[in-house]
Amino acid sequence: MAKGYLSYTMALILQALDNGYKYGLEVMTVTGLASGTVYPALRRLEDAGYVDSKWERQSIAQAEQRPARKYYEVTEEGRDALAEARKRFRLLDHLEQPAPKLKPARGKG
Amino acid sequence: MRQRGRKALARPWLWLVRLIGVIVPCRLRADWRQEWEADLQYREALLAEWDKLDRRGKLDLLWHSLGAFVDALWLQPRRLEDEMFQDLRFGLRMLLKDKAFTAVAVLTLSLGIGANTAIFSVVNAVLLRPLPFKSPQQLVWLEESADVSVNGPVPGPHFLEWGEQSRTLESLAGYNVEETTMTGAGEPEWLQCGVVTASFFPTLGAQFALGRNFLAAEDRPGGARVAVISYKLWQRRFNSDPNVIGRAITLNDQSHAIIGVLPPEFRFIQPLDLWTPMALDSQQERGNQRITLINVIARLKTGVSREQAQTELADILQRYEGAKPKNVMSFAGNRARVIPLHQQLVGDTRRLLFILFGAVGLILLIACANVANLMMARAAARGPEMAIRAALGAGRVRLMRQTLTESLLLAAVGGLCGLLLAYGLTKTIVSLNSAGALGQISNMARIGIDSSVLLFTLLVSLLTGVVFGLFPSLQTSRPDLNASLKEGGRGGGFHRGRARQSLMIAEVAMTITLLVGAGLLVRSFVNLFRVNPGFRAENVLTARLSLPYPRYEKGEDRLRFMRELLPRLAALPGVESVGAINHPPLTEFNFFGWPRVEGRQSAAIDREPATPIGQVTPDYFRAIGIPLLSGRYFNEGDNADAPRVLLLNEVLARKLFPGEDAVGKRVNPFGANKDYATVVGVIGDVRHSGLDQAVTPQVYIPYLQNGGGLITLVFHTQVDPLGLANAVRQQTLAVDPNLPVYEVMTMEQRLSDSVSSRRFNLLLLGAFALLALTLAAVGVYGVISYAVTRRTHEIGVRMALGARAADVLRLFVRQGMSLVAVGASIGLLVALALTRVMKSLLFGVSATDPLTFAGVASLLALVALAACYLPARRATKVDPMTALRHE
Repeated sequence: MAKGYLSYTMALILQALDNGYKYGLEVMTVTGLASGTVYPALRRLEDAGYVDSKWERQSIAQAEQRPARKYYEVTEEGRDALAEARKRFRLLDHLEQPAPKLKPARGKG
Repeated sequence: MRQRGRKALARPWLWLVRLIGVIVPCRLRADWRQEWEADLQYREALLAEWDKLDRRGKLDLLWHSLGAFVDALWLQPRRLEDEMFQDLRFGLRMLLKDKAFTAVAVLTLSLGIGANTAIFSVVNAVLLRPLPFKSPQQLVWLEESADVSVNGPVPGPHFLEWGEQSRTLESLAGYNVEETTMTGAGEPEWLQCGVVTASFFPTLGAQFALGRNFLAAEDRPGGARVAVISYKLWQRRFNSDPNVIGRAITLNDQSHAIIGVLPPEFRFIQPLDLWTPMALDSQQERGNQRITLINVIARLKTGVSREQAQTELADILQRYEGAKPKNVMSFAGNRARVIPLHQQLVGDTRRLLFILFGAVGLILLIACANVANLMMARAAARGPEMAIRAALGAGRVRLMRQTLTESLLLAAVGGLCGLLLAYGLTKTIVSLNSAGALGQISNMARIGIDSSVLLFTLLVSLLTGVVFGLFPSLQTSRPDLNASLKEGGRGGGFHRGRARQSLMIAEVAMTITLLVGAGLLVRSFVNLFRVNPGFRAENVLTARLSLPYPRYEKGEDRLRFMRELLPRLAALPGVESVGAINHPPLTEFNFFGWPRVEGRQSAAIDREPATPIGQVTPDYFRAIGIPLLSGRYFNEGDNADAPRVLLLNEVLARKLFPGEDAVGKRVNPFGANKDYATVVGVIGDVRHSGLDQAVTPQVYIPYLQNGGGLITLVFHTQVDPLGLANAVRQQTLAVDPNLPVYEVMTMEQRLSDSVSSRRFNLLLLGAFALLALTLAAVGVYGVISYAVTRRTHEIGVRMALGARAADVLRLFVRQGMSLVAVGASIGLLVALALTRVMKSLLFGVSATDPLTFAGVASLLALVALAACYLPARRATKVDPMTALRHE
């Protein structure tokens, strides 16, 4: 992916991460994009240095009785790119903030 | 765990992800699987929580798991990246390890690719790139093919008719070249002047750097005298003065106003210094008082085909010629021809370029064969390595890719070096072409390395890499594990040897084809210099003058000038004799007539070709060394007051008076059946138009009885001819300070220039043939040398059993030479078929000249013998004891 120019999909995913949705499924749910779009996009964003990823600690996952998750986080560079993209895609502003309806799932497991 | 496992069976999406994971590069696989499994399990958990894990939910999960496939596909380039990188690094290491091999391979490839790139840069500039004019595909060249008059240029009246009546042409323009003298500021200068119609620049779509084009009113008889100058002249004579427009210059003693300066990139057929309007006189042209022959270009209207235009122009000609009064010169047999401008300018260059391109193509193939041979030898040496890698689990494709990567790497380095080489070679070709060996178009085509040439080099390098890499990579990828590991490094068998031998045979065949081509050119060149030119070239200086017309319009003015100048020149130290003529050998004829013999009825003038008439001063023949065969030369007494006399050359004397003595007969050289002059002598024939041209009939008349304004001075000197150049200039300026002396050169230079295009062909093809020979020698050496190494053990056995050194030597030389013989026979047969295309480049030798074929074959045999002998001798030096231990 060429640096400095984000497609709308990429910007949308980046915005979702920036809004606090931290892993693949959350991003998919909130953006409505297919898994086959989101994961490759995440890899490319990571290649471009716009997001960092790290695995959740095994102990947390075990405590919640589910597989460990890979969390993505927007980098400084990613934030700059996002700011630039927002100027072009005004619609991004309407992406919802983390909604409570997803939260309980994590709590119960 | 057991429970989870059972659960997994019912969850096909998880299996799917695991399955898809197989195509994810190993390095990323674990990570990837974990993330996807987490995703899908979480999704599943959510659905279960919402009590929605029904059939639709499951389908949804399956659908989502398919996303993993897309994701895995996206990761594919990384696998390639990684392994490719590995291959590259490994390849580089292997190439650096074997420096000698790499150096030879890169050198071979760069020679092949360099030669191809250089020739392609010429082909690209000359044949592929469009002409540097506006919509060049609409530009055409108009000419007339004629039964009677000169084939080519268009007579003035036809040009005028076409211009007035044509509906298929958007515009029509005339273009002639004249020589003119510029005087005024500084030393007088002789310039090449384009004489063009006002439509000329607009037809080509030329823009002006300064000023404007000619007006229609300036392109009429009696119009204002104006001139457009070239960018070069503007820089040189006017110091790039931005206010040059409107300044006056003196051309042939007449003042002209500068109205425009052309941009530096404007070029047409030849480099010209300035342009003046043609100002055709319609009445004179149509009234048979004066007929100008014009080179014509035109622009077709959009949508009009060449054939349509040709039909229309022919119709116009027919109507015009049919309605013409009887007393006006007829061109009724002429047919109009419309030729695309590009095709006309390229002319014969196309054939030459195809030959050169074919030659470099062969060189590239030879280079490929050589490198493939080297690679196979190396592959044989690396057999055990490959076997071990295969045994450790490397797949066939993986091994092939490794070898191919190495060959592509070699090709890339070779291509880069080749590009550097091509840069130099292209420069050399351009400077060799200075005499125009590449034809008219080479003045307009900028030969150099541009983006399409770079693309070509890239493609050729890639292709080369694949071609020479494929052979060895196919072989190495199929190692016979058992044999290779057991044989312990000796490698190779009959099968592998045969592939290498076929490559060598092909190489020899291609080389001999090239050598035959070059050999034929060498023979032509030698033949050319065996031709007796009919004049002396050593110690002869020539210098041209052109007496401007208004000032020298009267014959007596010209005579006075010559009478004053010649004694001054004759008195110069070092001058043996000096004479003058209007057209010396190896220049264009500029004065013609139709000799008429007294008392004979001859055909109409326009039914036979014109005979050139030389106007000479008495000492001309002595100065240039044309022998007298009978009668006498001219002398000072043959002047305007004396009876008219003339000389014939031998060919003409025989043609006009077969079996008779021409001396004393009476002939009118100009074409009238009156005012006959007496033939006073017959002189030797001269190859006027070049050593490879037939002798033309010629008449000579005394300058003192009828001298024109175009003069070439000819000096026979006792000293270095060029040392006299300055003195000649000074003496001429002393007689007329406004008269430039130009084209001061020796006859040897003129002779050398006249064969320059043959020399160009010879040098290029000769160089390519030598290159091929060298490469082939390296190839033969490589094959035999490899065979010797491989059979060291066998040699040991033979020698231990009593074979002498000579026997071993014979064994290898015989093996090598029998292969060479096969290759040479094939090559000679191919050459027999191919040299036919060279016919037009040859002189005095047939395209199937047996001497050349035999000579080339023996040259190749000699070189191949040396290439076999060297490694074979190494075989004789083998110590039987060491060899027997050699495993």
